[in-house]
Amino acid sequence: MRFIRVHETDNVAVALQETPPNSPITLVGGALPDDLHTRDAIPANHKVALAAIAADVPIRKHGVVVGYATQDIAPGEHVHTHNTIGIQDYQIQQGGRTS
Amino acid sequence: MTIMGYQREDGRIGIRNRVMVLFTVICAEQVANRIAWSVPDAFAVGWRDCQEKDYATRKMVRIGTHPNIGGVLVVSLGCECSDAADIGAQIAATGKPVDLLVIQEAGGTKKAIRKGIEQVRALQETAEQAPRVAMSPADLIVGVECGGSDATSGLAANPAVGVFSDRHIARGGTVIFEETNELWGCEPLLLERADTPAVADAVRQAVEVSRQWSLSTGQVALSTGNIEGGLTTIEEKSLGAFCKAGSTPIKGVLQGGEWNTPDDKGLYLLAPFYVEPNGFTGAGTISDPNGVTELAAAGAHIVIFTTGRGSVTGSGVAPVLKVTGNDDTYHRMQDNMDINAGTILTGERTLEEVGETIDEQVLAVAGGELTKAEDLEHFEFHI
Repeated sequence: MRFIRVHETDNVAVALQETPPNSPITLVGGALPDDLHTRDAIPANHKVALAAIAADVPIRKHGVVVGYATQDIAPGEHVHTHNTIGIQDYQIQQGGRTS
Repeated sequence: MTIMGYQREDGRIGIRNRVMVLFTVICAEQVANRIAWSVPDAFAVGWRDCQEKDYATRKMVRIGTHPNIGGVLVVSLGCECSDAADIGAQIAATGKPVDLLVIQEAGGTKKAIRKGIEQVRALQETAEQAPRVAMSPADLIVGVECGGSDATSGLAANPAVGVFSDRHIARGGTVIFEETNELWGCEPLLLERADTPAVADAVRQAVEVSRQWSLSTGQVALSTGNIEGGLTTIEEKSLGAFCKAGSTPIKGVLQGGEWNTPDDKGLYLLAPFYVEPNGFTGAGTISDPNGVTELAAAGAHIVIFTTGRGSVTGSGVAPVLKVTGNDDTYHRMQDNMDINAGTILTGERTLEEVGETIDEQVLAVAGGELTKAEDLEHFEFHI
């Protein structure tokens, strides 16, 4: 199934169609080092993890940080609001932890 | 590549030489339109309300003095609150050929239209006398905007425009981006890109004003529909629009209501929201044509406009070049679309290749080639 990674440093790619679990991930205009399959169903235009992303590690898209993982995310997993938080919310959360 | 531009008396150089018919109240709009439609390459713009509004007057003067404009016919009914003669005088003060038509003095609609057609033809003849001078691609001020977006905008069209923005700035050019209401929530990303602490303060202020405006009009930053569409965080959504601006530092903030032209090369943020002395926060009318008009008011020679669903908007002031990331839209609306960035998602072309094509097209348009919107005479204008 076809996915696009907007920037080469991104750790997520976007599904160009609705994709069932266990589908091979093909990047348009690019190649992946290893065979990678989806673990979850990925709706069209939603993101999939291209690498293991540990909790508190930045989610990168467009070559920049767009959020942080709230839990460990495995390659092929759906990356969305259930496992990702925005930058400002993350900063507030971190501030809350230290005070 | 050398572009042959039109030298204006105030020192600026334009890439078009059209005569603009400027009505100063809705009562003069019909006459202005009839005049503009009767003369090839003329177009009508204006301000409809019968009320004194500094904001509208300033914007009409900024547009009238734009270097792409060869001459201006100001069309007045004769009793409106706008001061048509003063608007004409302010434009003429920059050395621009200007004439005034007052419908009540001309003897009504038919006589005014006949007289106006003659005035526009005379202005066109004067405009033809403008000296042609060599213009470097680096002298081009390019505005970037999006409208009628879909999921492909952030994945293909906007990143490809970002590639163009970086290329244009690398050769010494200027790029203006706007839509601060779409940047709400990605301040950390914006502030990182600010060239100096003073610019960072200006960016923070611009986004804060736009946040106040958005809250007062009930806009939300990340909607349920956005989340269903695959956008997870506000930063991600904002990035989809912000990536048109490429990756270079933000050199300055241009204030809406003033539309000061960038004083240096590089990347500039135009903040269309303004705060009046009484504390009222406002903006021009929210529409795609207004966004294009804002960029032109700040001096953009050309506007690159990305769309997913398919916008048709254009401008008589600054040629609008359409880029769509949606392959279906490109083929369905080929009359309106200049560049197909959807080929990035089909795997036919890379982002860099499409960015290069956008660059080539921008230079061709600066050299005189008409965009699809110009060819269709999509000369929308919205203050």
